[in-house]
Amino acid sequence: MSKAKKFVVSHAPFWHNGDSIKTRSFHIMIAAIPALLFGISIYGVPAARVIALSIACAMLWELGMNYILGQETTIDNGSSSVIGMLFGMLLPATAPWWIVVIGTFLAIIVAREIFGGIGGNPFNPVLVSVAIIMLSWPDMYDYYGALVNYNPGFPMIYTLETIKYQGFKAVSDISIINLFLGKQAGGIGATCGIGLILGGAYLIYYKVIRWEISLSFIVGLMITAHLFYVSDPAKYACPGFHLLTGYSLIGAFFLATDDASSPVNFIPMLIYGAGAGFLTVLIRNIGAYVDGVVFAILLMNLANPLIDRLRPKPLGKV
Amino acid sequence: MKCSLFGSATPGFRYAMSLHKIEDIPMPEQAMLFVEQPKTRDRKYVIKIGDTIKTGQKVSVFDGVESATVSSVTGTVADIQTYRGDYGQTYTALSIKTADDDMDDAIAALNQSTDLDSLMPFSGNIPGAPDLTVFKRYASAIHTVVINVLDDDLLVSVNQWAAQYLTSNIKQGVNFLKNIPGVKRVLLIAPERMLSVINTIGVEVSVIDESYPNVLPAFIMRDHLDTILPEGKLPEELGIAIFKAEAIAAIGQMIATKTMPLEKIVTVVKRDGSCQNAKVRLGTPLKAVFDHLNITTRSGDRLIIGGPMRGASVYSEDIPVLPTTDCIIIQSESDIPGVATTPCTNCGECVRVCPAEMSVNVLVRYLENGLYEEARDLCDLMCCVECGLCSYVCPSKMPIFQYIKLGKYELSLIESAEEQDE
Repeated sequence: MSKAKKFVVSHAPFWHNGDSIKTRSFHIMIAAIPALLFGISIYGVPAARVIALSIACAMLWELGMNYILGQETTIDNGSSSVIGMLFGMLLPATAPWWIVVIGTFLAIIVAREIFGGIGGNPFNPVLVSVAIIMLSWPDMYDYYGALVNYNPGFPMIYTLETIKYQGFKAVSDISIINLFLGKQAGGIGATCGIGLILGGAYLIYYKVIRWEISLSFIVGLMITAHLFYVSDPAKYACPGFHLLTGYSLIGAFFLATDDASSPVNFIPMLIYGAGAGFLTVLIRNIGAYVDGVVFAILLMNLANPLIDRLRPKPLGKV
Repeated sequence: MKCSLFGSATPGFRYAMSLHKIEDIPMPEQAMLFVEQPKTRDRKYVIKIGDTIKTGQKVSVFDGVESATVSSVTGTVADIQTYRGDYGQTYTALSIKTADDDMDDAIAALNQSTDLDSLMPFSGNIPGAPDLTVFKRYASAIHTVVINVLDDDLLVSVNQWAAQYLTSNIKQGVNFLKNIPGVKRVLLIAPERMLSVINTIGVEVSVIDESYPNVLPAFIMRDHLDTILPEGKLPEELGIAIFKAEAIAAIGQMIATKTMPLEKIVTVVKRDGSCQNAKVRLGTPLKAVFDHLNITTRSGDRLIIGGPMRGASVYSEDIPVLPTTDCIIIQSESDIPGVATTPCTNCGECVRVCPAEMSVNVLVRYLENGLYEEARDLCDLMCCVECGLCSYVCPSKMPIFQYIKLGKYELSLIESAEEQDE
């Protein structure tokens, strides 16, 4: 047999559809551009600074971890940049540099790398970090305090907080359209409803996220909010307000859909999404926190391994 | 070779839709025969270099070991080597310097009788490799025979070619099958576009949807026979035998002309993805096929025997066209997608693409860690139909299909070791 030519030998299949973690990460970053640009146009350079620092720190933490563990460098797959970007999008534009450094450390190292790196995290790394910061430095996510010096030409109102302490009547002069266009206080990339919906539609079209999770999250949130609203319209906000304020939309399209911490089977995805939406409204309306998205999704992450056991019986199983 | 067919717009792969044009490849100067028996320490060769082999002769290589291989060429043995295939399969490879065909007496015997017993020696040695021993081997008699007109992988159009141009032979083959004791039903599975030809055969026809992987046995049984193939079982164990159209045509030819079919149709896929069919003498080395079709191979290429999803790559272009070789693919180095060591990110693509509805994301975690028994018991490893779609879509580029095949192979080793202990 000829020894001259060496052929490549590997296992079937011999085709691949060309998808990769890198492309998926880039798709997520592209999808975030509308909401991010809006945030940067409102808050200016400080917002860009937070996002840039956050992405850079996240990548550096991963690089450092690769170095310490003697692994191959994995930052080129873009997943830590996505985590950094999403973490920055949730912060107010005035966030100090050290909170970004600590936050990305918590997200990349504590919430992901110590669980085994990409794909191993049981919780959404961004939300773990946000939750720890919320508990440790509660003022950090107080958008009234953080954004007091901004005057972008519309009332800088963090609706969820106002509703929580003063009832729905206090914000009755804010139109849903304005919220939809992002005229509210909030995280850098979390306020622009239309931008987030566009990004979500893009991700669903390219099958980067699972539409079942986003849709059931929104439906679960709206139905629960509607039930509260019907029970006491003066106190509780209407479903539209819940959907367009706080982290609802970024949660539905960017956070709840994190691959490793969400289910993959059809019915579990519906339960997971609807459960997160339900818990969000529950925490907002009767819980201790102003915005419930963070803890709602983390709680559903916790339940994910259990609910993802509801899977179809494979062909041939009797 | 990236395939855009799997975009968001199209539902999935389709089997080869058109018949490729065909080219005759002449008898090679040197052919090769594979005998599925490895050389072991206590086996002595009964064949030696310089021996003459006739077409149709049963080739015995070792003393006292019965061989099932029937030669497809006449000539003298030039070399004897060992070839190792996938999963520990070992063959003894005989290089044969070919001469004009000289038919062995075994073929002359076909003139006297063409019943099951007299065709049995050719089982597995004629194009399409029909395994006629299933009619004797299984305790539960075969009651249903399914003939598949589609090919079992993408790009291949061998069986379709046979159904289109060897229809009269298939008719003969069907009559033969119907006369086998115990066979109650012969069912032909064909795509709708071929019905005009297929209907002239005069046998029960069931129309198949041409999307991949509907041709795999589990789906044929589910869609056309209303039977669920239980995990880890073979269709034959349920009394169902599935044959390729080409194999039935070969049987038909033996009955009609009393000769042994020696030429096989092979789909050749070139570097640029263009497909061509070739009529090749069994035993022709791949290199002879390439030379005739003006294909040059280079180091770093990948040679694939079988289709792009389920085939097997080989390390030598000297290996022959076997009765089971339906397709030969040459892939350039730059078109090889490769695999990666990235872990599963739980994106769920495999779960959504799996036609057997397995939870591949969980399964692959067991398999990666070598927990094969857990994979079988908790994640239904044996339900896998081996279509390869999970590896095809995996963004982490994990070799999922390889893990699954390895898992099944390791389990078979464990099971045979347990049997030996008892």
